[in-house]
Amino acid sequence: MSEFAAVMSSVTVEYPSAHGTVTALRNVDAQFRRGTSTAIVGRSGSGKSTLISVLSLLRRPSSGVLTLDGVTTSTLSDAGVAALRSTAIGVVFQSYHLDSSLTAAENVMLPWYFYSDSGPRRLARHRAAQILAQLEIGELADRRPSQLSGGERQRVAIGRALFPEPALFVADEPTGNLDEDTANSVATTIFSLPSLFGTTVVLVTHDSTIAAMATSRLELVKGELR
Amino acid sequence: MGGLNRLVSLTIRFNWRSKAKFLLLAVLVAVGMTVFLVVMELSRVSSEDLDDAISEDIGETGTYRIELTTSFGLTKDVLAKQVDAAVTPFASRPPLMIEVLPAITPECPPYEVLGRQPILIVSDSAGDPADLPFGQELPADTEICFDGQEIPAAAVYLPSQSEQGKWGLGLAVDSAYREVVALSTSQPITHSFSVVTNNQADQRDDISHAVIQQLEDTALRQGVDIRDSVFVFRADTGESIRSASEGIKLVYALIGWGVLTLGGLGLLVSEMIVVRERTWFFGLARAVGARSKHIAALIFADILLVLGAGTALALLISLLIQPAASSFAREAFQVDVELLQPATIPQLIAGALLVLVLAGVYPALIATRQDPLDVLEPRVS
Repeated sequence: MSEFAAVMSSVTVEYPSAHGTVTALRNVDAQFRRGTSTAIVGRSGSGKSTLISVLSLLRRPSSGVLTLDGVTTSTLSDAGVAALRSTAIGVVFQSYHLDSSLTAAENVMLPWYFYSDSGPRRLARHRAAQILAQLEIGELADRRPSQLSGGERQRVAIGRALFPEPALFVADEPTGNLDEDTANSVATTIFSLPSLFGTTVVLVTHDSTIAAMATSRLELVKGELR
Repeated sequence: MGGLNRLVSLTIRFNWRSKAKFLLLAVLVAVGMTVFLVVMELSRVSSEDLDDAISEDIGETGTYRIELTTSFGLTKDVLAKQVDAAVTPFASRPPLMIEVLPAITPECPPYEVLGRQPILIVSDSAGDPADLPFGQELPADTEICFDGQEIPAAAVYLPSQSEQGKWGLGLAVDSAYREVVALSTSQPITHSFSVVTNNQADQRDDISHAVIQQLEDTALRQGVDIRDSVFVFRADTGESIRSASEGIKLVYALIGWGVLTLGGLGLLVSEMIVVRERTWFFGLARAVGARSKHIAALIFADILLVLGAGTALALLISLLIQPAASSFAREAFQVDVELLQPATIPQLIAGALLVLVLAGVYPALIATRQDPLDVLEPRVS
């Protein structure tokens, strides 16, 4: 097993636009060691979310190589990317994106519906309950999102990202919709994931207090890492 | 299969959340399917009666009469077997053989009603007498005499118009009286055959060619010109009436399938709304590892659920209204109707598949082509 959960080598992402090609990331080299946490900071438009979308395999780089959990992703087919995404990556967004018709536990086990090798429903339900308990909201497992506070909803979203036991947990402004106390509490939970679950955390934030909780910090300026 | 079960269970959860919408759509499908069943049954009942009437008047589709001017020196039975062998590739059932005795006056004096008539002895291809309703259709007070000998009315049958088209003009007589009839004429007996193909296309040349080929060697041995001895006539006429019947069936089919198509379009619109409502969910599903096939399966499972519920409801409605429909049809049109005809079920399944494809393909394409980033986090920082 590689000592790095993710390695980016000369990753460049370009978009076509009405004014020509926009370079969102330029020759980014980064290594994310297993069991660590990294905060990505930068101004709006610096490429933070693009970096997260590349790390979470939702966008392919225009050039460069991304290696995830020891797998070189540039050679993977779309199906291969989807399979790797379902097993090696957990993503949390600023919006919680919880389904209102499902309970908290069912939202956590959402990846189970799309990954046929993930065992019977009973086991999936048990694992979802365990994750929620570790995130200190075990008693809310049967509640629906409308019965949860903002912080609780984001914890459920974190639980969903952790469900497949991912090598890499990526979060894009996960505290952006929360008040300060709740944001700190959620951030504390996220930065405890390496010790709780052994996962590697990469988090994008505007908040310097939250960034300071990470093991390391990277700053993006106009698509380049500083 | 396990994966499909999971997606179906997820779809059930979604629809449970929108019970009213689900029920409305199921009712829409049920109404469409019930109308389809009713229209198809109306089509069956009306066209069946019409087709029976047409067959009665102008003969079954693809009815031919083969007239042979000579027996080619063959016995009746051998001739029947030869012709049977020739027409088997075309015929939907074994041909009938008609021995035609030249025109005589079959009536006892004072010869007022029937006039001169050829006499027909009708038998099947095995040579056995055909089962005809002897004694019927004969004008009242008519007495039949052959060679001065009175024949019971129960041994004689005046063929209907369509039968005369198939067999030729004449009076059918029970084969038991064949020898008596033969004494009434010194003219040679000729033979006709009635062949039914049930094929709309004109096959006169094919049948003629087949019979000529079959009897060619025999004719040569007898010194008979085969081409002057075999004549094939088409006995079913009135194509315009038959076309009208087909037109009625077409109209009914258009109405039935049109209703189903409308139901499918209704579901399509509904599914487009569903895709729009669940855009973020499909994006999220992609983000947690779902592939395009999973997203498409979610759409089709959604439609299948509605179709399944709608079909079950349609079957229930059909069973419930069957007694009333039967009673109404019997009183108003003197026909028996059965909404759930075995022949209609495959059409109903085909219709359901049409609705599934109509309502599923485009929304599935739209849903699978969405970029999860566009629907989850539409901003770039």
